[in-house]
Amino acid sequence: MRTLTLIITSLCIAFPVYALDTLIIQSHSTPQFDQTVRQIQNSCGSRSRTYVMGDYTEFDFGRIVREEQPRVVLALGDKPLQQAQKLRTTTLYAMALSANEKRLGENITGVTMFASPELYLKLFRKLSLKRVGVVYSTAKSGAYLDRALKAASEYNVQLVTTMVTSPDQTESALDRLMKQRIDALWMIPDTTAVTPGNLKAYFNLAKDEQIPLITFSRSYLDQGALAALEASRSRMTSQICSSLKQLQNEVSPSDLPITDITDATLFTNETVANRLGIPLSGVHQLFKANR
Amino acid sequence: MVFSSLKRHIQRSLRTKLFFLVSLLIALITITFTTYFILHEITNLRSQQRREGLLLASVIASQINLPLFSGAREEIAMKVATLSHNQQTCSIKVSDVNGDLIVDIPRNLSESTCPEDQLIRQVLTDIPQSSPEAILLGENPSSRTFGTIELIMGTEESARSIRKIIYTTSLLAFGFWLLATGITLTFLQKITATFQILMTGVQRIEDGEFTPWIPVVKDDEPGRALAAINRLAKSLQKQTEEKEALQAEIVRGLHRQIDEEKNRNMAKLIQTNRMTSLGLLVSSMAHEINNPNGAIRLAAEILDRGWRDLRPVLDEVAGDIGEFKLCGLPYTDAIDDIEKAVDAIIRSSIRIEHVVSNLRSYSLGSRDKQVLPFNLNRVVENSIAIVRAHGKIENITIRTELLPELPDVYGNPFQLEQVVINLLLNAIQAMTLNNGSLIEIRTKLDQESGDPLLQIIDSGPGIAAESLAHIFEPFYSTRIEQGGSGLGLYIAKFIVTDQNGTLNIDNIAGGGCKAIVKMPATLENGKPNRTD
Repeated sequence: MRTLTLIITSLCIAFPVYALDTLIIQSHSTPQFDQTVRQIQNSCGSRSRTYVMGDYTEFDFGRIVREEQPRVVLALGDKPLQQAQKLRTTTLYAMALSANEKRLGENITGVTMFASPELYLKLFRKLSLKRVGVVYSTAKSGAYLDRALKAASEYNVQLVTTMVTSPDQTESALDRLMKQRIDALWMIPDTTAVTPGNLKAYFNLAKDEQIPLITFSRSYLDQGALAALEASRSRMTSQICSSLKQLQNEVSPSDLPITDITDATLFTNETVANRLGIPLSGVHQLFKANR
Repeated sequence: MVFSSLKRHIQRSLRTKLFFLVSLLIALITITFTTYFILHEITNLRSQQRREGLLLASVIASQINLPLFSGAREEIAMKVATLSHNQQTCSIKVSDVNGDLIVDIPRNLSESTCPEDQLIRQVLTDIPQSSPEAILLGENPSSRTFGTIELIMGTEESARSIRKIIYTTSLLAFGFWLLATGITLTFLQKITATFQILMTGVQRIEDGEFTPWIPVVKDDEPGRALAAINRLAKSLQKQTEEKEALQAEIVRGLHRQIDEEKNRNMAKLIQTNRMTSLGLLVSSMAHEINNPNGAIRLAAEILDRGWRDLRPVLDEVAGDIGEFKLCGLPYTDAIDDIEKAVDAIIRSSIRIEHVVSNLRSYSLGSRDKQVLPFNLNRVVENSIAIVRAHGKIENITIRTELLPELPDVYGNPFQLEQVVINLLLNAIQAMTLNNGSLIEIRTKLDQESGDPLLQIIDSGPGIAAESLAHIFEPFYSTRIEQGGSGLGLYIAKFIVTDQNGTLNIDNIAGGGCKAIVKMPATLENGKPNRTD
């Protein structure tokens, strides 16, 4: 009897009982968040529960996690990620633009919102862009730029980077880039480097200096961007599900590197291309081009 | 007057009716589209004006963002004035975020061109650019209000534009209507040209010209109608010709009938004239006949008296010498013959006298009114004797069945003899061509009335049904060409009826004809009672 009790106790200690496979906590309800949650639930969220932090006046993240005892917490958005960093629960984050990868705990891994740098580098090479300037902030896109810089040499592209720590430094950073004789400007979704207040600076610079601006959303094509690589949402979802499965299969988050979205759709503005004298032929075959 | 004559003209002309209808339709459509166009343009103008106002407000907003934030009134006023310089604005007011009026620029425009409903009020806000959060995560960008701008757009310019649109559009519409109407008229004239030709052809047919003449150019519905009209005209012409031929034939037939009738009338007139002449002849002959007839009668009466005186003497001689011959016969046989002969001479003379008297009276228009009792049997015998004297009954047998106890009737026996003679002559003439013909004369009493009647029945062919109703008409005869007068039966009927008797003639079933004469057997007030 005692042996049996010991065995059972050991097993409980060794194998904790989980009520849920996945606890999904999204920061607030927007069409993008809700759609992502639906896709995750349909694809890989059989035993999952979803909370929306924005629906609560005060959301006690820790208590919810303790009570739900999930295998994995899926933190969608910056707020859940910030809260999850305080816990030791295995956490997968996504849709967080302000995540500082270098400061995340070993219990946290994730999928960024950036399209993989290789995709951009492939585009730059195709467009014969040699020196591409990019403004970034270390906290929000430092790790992404590291990956990009590491891969740039393979594509024969030189990334000219300028770091900013606040949005009002962006304009001067762009000026500095121009002085370094860049032949293209790369706008990444860094919420410090790119804000509503300094967006115009990017477009004005590109227009004034007659250099192509490569961005992350087709919304900016109407304002003068040459091309946009939109990261695939469905690929993001499938990457999330893949990571979730691995995590639920007891793979350690530290063994699971943070990944960028490996698929994107290319959008181009032919008018801008004609103005800049940049031919777009053959570019569309590289990506799922729609414009 | 003009309107009513125009109305009449329109009603009578298909081309005019169509033209007016199509013109009216084009006018309605033109007016409808013109009205719609004008209203649409007015709406567009007003929308455009409003958009211009909004655009002006937006442009002003974008320019005064920082001055409004810093409170630079003069700069704001200058910018507003510059931007709205060429615009038809009635007034522009700019207020800051607290509602304080910063700039108020009125214009010297009339109130009528500055309606209050043209007020445009726009809140001046920062319009943030789309951030990565908004694009990637769907987060709403925040905006800040920094003031309001109110401006009223003047309508004078737009009113001028509207007037111009109305005038131009109306003029164009009128021109279009004229053009369309002109084209319509041309097409109608071409389309209805064939119809006009058709109507002309129909009109000609109505006027009686049936000569096919309409040239058929096309094989469409009007063309086929024209061809049908031509065929109709030809048919009518043929029918007219046939009708005229028929009419001519009818006229010729009528002429023939008229000629025949004329001939018959002439024959009757001639016969009448002849009768008149005969009457005159009879009158003149009466004297010539009466004289010798008187001598004959006198001589006969002398002979009669002489015989009466001589008879006893001869009887005594016969008694003395026995039988001897007188007039070639034995005396006993000769007595009767001599007495009969004398009697026949006297009676015939009397008869001649009566006949001449009757003929004379008839020719002079007078009647013999004597009413005597007489026996029909006697009349029959006398008539037969006279007819036999004519010598035209060689092949005809006359058989008599006379009732011996036949009572007397009242009337003129001599006239009645004439009746019987006429009936016998008709019967004889009807059987002229037949051998073995038979005429039966019967006297008997009528079964119903008991009055004596006389029947004359012949075995001839009878009287044709169509002639039976006319046999008693004067001058009606089926033997006019053979010299028949057509008066025999008429006179017979006249005589019998005048004496209150009846004469009926009818065919006998199986052939032959029967004449029945009834005479009154009683008198009333000296006149014979009328028989039935």
